[in-house]
Amino acid sequence: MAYAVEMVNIVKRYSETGVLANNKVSLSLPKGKILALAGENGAGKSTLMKILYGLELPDEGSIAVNGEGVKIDSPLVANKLGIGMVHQHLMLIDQFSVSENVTLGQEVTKGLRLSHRQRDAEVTALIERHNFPLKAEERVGELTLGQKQQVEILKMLYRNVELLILDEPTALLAEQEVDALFATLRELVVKGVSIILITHKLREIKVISDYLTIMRGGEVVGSYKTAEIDEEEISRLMVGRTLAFKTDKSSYQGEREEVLRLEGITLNAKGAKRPLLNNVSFSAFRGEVLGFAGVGGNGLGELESLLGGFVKPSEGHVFYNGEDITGYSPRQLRHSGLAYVPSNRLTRGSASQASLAHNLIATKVAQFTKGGLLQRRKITAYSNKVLADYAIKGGSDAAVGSLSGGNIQKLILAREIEHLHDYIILSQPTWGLDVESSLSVYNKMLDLKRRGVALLLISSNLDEVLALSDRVAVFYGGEIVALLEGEALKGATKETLGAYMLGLKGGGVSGT
Amino acid sequence: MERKIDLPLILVIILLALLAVVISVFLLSGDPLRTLHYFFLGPLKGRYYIGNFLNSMGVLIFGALGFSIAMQGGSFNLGGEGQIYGGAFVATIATFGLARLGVVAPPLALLAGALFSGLIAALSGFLKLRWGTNELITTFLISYALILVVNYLVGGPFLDPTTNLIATRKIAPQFQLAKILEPSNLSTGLIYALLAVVVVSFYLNRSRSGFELKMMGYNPQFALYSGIRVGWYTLWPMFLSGAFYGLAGGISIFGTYHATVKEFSSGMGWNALAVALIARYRPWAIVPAALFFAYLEAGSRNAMLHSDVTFEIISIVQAVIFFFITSALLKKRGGRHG
Ligand SMILES: Nc1ncnc2c1ncn2[C@@H]1O[C@H](COP(=O)(O)OP(=O)(O)OP(=O)(O)O)[C@@H](O)[C@H]1O
Ligand SMILES: [Mg+2]
Repeated sequence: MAYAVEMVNIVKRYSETGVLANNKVSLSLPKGKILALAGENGAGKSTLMKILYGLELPDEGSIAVNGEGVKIDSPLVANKLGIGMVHQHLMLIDQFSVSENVTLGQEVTKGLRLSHRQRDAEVTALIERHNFPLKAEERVGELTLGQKQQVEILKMLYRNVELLILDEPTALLAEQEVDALFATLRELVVKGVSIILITHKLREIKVISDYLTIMRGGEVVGSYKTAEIDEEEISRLMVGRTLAFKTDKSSYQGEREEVLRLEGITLNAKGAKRPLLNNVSFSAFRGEVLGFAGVGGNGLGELESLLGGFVKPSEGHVFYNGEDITGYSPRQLRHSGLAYVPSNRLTRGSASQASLAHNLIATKVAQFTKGGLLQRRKITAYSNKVLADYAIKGGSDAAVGSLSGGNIQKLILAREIEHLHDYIILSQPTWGLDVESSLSVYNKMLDLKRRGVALLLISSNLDEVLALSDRVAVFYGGEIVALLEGEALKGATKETLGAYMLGLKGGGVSGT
Repeated sequence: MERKIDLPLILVIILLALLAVVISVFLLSGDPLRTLHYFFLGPLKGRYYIGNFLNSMGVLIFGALGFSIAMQGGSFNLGGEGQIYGGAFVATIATFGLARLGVVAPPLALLAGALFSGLIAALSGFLKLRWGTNELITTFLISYALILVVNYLVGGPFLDPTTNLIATRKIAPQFQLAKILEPSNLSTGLIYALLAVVVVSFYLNRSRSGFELKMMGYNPQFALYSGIRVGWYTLWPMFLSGAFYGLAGGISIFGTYHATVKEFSSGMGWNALAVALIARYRPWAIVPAALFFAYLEAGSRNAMLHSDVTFEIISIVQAVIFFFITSALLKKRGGRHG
């Protein structure tokens, strides 16, 4: 068999933290096939792929591409070998257009001048070939996450990659967007491209991959043909035991009391024909999970920003326990009880150069201050405790940037849950979490619910939304097109939600 | 958390800078060995030279603290040139009015200079906050305007006609800092500079305000999200930055010049910036960085006095240092991915 890539006995220890991230890891991928790489948070998946892409150097081991031994010591070398990588955290320049991002570093020149027209035309052709809902001239900052993902992939297609590495590309996508992505991947495979895909989702492993390699604690647990192994077995291999999860939806015993209410919220955008949010009203109650579903670009991103205080509504009001908090800044909201897990953990949710301890106390530094000075011992003690309670792999003094993606997410969750007063906004709370950590988040959420907290869950993962929510608001075109609860929600499937999300059903529901 | 010091990188930069000196001396001098001798050993020959060389360190430290504290808070202050000069001038004229106050007068006069430059820098912070103007540009432009204004004042209304320098009157002896290594210029200013390093480092690492300032520097979106007063921390690092530049100016007057001489501080702001870059904005690292830079500067001056090279040699060395440091830092930054 001809192999696109073979990695043999790769060893990598991070000198900064002393963590042995890869311990004699081997992996191989036949040409034109898709390999899924799975395993718990911090297992060493991203590290292995960074080594293949030349972003990290291995301490030991060898790599062969197309059967030839190679030394990949920079992404440039990787690019020359036809290797491309889409990172766990997107790396686009928001101020640039789609075509500028796609051609960055490979600019089309005409004589000495950059040729914009040719560039746009080339990128447009590429977009059309793959049926992406994108325009070459659009500014990337205005795109939805799903579209940004597509731009990252376009970048790779433009470079004619033969081996494409995707690090958790689906984590933030709605199911429809995942399907679109997979369709693209299949097309690429037909053209002979080989693909390595990191994912935590069992369904995706089954649906898209030919081969599966599972890692745990820096080592390979095993490599399999996907067709020969079932989901349960995969899950067992990933965590080392079987997991059970059952939700108990009606466990809060107290009064049904309103915590947060939005009334006729409209958000107009400069230059846009439609408002981003149009007359949105709903209430969140104590001891209840209010779920939100919607495809990217239909208002959920704006709703999240609005609830977090990052944008102010053009019309309408927000009430918290009866008090009008419309237009409060994040600082004011924090004082009045906001706990918020943002969907963007690196740009909004953390300071990657700062330590874990400092990230944990940033939202409530006053509690760790005496006479204007930080109480360092108290901070360390608090941080050590939280890290242990939430099973976060990392020391209090380590920089957040040195954590694995899933562990950063756990850190943010921990901080916000500890900060929580009586409501919490959870946007993509299980982004990049392995199966076990996701379950522990779900259990934590149910626990909070029992304690009478109002939870607002914004998620692209419909299974999660359906399993946890007491009511579900579906967004389409900036409006709530359906509000499912009670029997209607019990009978609802992902397909039902999907139909609303695509605007095929419903319209004009005003919330309770 | 303090970022770790990258020793090998700094060593490479130092070696390259020294290499640049040697090469340019061989290119520019008719008697390279003699020139090199003066360059490298001149600054260390006797009390006078050692004292002068150490003295220039003090000002570099204050200035580098100024640039660094803005950087730590996520703001750029490229106005060092004007803020040093302006702070020096304000401190000078403050001495004329404050002389009667006795022992508190010198610190008050220095503070007046610091306050003035701090407010000038904070003005750029305000413009950024209010209209989103880029502080990189406004600090630079305001600084140049300020230099012209001070030039006018020093050469006109405040000119001391009794000397043939273009300068203000001398400050009274009560304001002059005590000398350490006479006959050199070295004064207690260097000690104050070292104290300032301790204070700034303590502020950044131990105080709540320093914590919030650094969070703003790490990630302003995160600071906003966390409930930190981002408006205030757009102004405050700039104010502190300007204040330290102002102190750099005031200390030069009180310790060395004893009067604001026209354009006496020309280049100091940029040199301080280079020192801050070498130190990568960490207060403690500023001390060795300033020592190194002051040594190169003193070496060039010596070589120029005792041999045939011109003062350009220091410019060449500076350019080389700037080039290597910035490219090394940029490379570092590009190499890390999430
Ligand atoms: N730049 C770094 N410096 C130091 N340690 C690091 C660095 N990057 C990762 N690590 C450590 O190496 C280990 C493996 O991390 P890696 O990012 O490869 O995990 P992962 O399998 O991708 O996890 P996840 O599913 O959470 O993204 C972790 O313990 C992590 O803390
Ligand atoms: Mg990862």
